[in-house]
Amino acid sequence: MLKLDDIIGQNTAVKTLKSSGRSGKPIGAYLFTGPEGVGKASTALAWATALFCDAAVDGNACGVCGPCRKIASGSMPDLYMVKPEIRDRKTKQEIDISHIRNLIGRLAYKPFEARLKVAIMDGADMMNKPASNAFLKTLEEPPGDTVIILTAVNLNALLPTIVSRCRTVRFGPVAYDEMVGYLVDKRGMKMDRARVVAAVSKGSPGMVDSDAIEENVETRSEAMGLLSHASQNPVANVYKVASKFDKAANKNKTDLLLDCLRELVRDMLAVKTGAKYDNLLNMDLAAELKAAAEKFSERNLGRAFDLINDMTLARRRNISPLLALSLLLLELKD
Amino acid sequence: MEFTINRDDFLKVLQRVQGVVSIKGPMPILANVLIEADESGITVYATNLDMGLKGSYGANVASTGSVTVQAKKLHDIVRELPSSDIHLKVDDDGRCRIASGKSKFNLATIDPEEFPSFPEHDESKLIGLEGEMLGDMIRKTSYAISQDETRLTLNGAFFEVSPTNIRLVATDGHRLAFVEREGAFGVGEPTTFIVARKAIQELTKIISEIDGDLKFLKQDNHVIFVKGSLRLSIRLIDGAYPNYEQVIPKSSDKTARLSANEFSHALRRVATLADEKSHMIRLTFSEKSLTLVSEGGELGEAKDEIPIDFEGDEISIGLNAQYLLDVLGILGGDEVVVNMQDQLRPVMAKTPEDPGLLCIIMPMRI
Repeated sequence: MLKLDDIIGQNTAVKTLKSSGRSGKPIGAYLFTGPEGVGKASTALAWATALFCDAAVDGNACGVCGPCRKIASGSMPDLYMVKPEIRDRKTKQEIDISHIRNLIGRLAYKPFEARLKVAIMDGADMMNKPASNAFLKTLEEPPGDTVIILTAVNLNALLPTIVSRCRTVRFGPVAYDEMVGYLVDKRGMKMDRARVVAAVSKGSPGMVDSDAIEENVETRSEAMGLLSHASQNPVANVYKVASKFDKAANKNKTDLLLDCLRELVRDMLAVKTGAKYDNLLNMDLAAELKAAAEKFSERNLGRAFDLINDMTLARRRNISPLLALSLLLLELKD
Repeated sequence: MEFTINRDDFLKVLQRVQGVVSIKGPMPILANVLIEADESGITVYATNLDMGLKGSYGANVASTGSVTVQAKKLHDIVRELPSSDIHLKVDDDGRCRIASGKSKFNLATIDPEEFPSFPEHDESKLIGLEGEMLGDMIRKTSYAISQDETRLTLNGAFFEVSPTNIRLVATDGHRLAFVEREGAFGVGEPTTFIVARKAIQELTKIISEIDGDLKFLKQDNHVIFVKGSLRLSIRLIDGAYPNYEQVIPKSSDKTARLSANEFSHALRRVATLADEKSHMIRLTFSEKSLTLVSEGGELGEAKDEIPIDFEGDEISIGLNAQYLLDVLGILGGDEVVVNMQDQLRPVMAKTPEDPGLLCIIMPMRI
C-alpha cells in the first residue's frame, strides 16, 4: 500500500495535501494536474487512504487498519473510482454523462461506514462536454463530507468552469537525480541503466514499466548516431539513412525520432553555450553530447533546431518522412 | 460450515434478497449473499450498500461458519431443485457444495471477511412502530416523490419523528403530500431523515409481506427497520430536505366542499381534451357550482359543471388534472375539501375522514 511519503519527487504537492488533511476535514474538490505518469493517481489514492485511515500519522495511512485493508482489496464502500471507458459504438475513451449521473447518484447518500466519501476521477480531461456540465453543480457544492479528486494531464481539455471550481494541485516531472535514486534504491536497477531510464522516461515513474521505454532508448540512440555522423555523412548516405524511416509502420517512429533529435540538439546547444550540466534533458549522455557538439557551429545547431520544429509541424500535414529527414540531415551537413 | 434446510423455505429467503443484490457494481462481492450458520440456524444477508436485507431462519446446522456465494446463481439452483431438503457445505478448498438427492453443485465463493458488515445498532434502542399505520402513511405520500434525478434530496420521502407524532412528507416541487399521525413514539428527541424511493418500495414490501412487529432505529447514516426476524438497513440520503412547512397554507379564505365521486368523474371527462403535456384544466369555483374547462387547442374544448358548497369570492385556477385525480385516489372518502387563496398560491385538498392528510398542488398560470 502506498503512503504519501512514498510518492517521489512531488514534495510541493504532498506538502499541500498533508496540510489540507491536517486541518480536519479537507472537504471539497481538488484537481491534480501534471504530465502523464508522474504520480497523480497514485498520490490521489495514497491521500484518500490516509483520509479514511483510523491511525494516519502526518498524512500517511497506517496500512493495517480496517479501512486501509479495505482500500487495498478494493472493497471500501465509500471510495468511488471513475475512469474513462470506451462506451457503446464510440471509438475513444471518454467519461460520459452516464458516468457522472451514476457518481452524483452515489454521492447523494451518506457514507456507508466511513467518516467521509471520496471520489477519484482519474482522467478528468477525458470528460466530454455534457458530462462536464452535468458535474458542475456537484463540484461547486459537493454533498456533505465529500472529497472529490480529479486528475488531468491536459488542463486545456477541461472546461474553465471545472478548473475554477477545484483547488489545483500541480505535479511536475520528477527531477533526474531523484529519479535515478528511486530506480536504483526501490527498483533495484544498475546505475548505468537507471541513468538511461531516468532520462528517457522524462521524470515520469509511471513510464518506467511501459514498453515505450525500450523504444525511446533505441530511437534516442539512433538519433544520437545520426547527429554524431551527420557532419561526415556523404549525400548518398543521407538518402539511405532517411529511407529507413520511410515506411507506413514507421510513421510514429519518425515522429519519435524528431522528438529525440529536438531534445538532443537542444542539449547540444545548451552545452555549447555553457549551460550547467543539470540543465540537460539527457543527463546520461552529457559526455557524448559535449563531443558531438564540437562538430557543429552554434548557428548550425540553431538552424537545425528550427528545422526540426518545422518538420514536426510539416509531419502533421503529412509530409513524407523521407523528405523531412533528408532535408534535416542535409542542413546539418553544411 | 454445513447445514440442511428445506428447499421451499430456502427459496423464499433467497427470493427476498434478490432485490438488494448489486450485480453490476464496482464491488463484485455485492453480487453475493452472505450466509452465516450458528447453533440457532442461518442468517442470510445481502446488500447493495444503499439497502441491506438480513434475515434469520431455522436450519439444521451441522457445523457453524460463514460463506458468500453469488446470490442469483444460488437462487436459480435452489429454484430448479425439487421440493426436499437441501444440503449446503463449505469445503476446505473454499468451494461451496450444494446437494439435493442426486443433484450436486459446487460454487465459487468470496471471503466473507470482505463482505460489508450490517450497520451496527443497539438492539435495546429499537423503537416500536405500527406497521399497518406506516404502510398506510407511505401509500398516501409516495406518489409525490420526485422522479427528477437532479434534485436528489427530493428523490425520497422525508421522515420526521418526535416523541408525540410522526410525519411523512414527499414532494416533487409541483405537488406535496403530507401525512401526520399522533401517538407515543419512544424517541428521546425529534429525529428526521430522508429515505430514497427504492428503499421506500422495499420497506413497503416487508411491511406487507412479513409477519411480526415493526421496529426502527436511526443509527448514524442508516435507518434500520426490523420486522419479525427480518432486518432492513437503509442508507440515508445526504442533504437538507426543503422547508416544506412554507408550502402548506396556514389560512384560506376560499373553501369548497364537493363530492369526491362527482369531482373525479367530471375531471376524467374534461381531461380527455386537456393539453397533452401540461394536463392543465381551468377550474372556476363559484357560489353554487364548479366549472371545469379544458382547451385542447386545435382539438377542441370540453366543459363540465358540478354542484359544490363554496365559501369565498369566485376564483378561476389552472391545475394539472392528473395531479388532481392522483389526490382524489389517495384521499378516498365521500367528501373532499379544497382550500385556496389566489390563482398562484398552493391549493390544498383534504378529507374530513383523515385530518392528518394534506395534499398540496401548485397551480399553473392561466
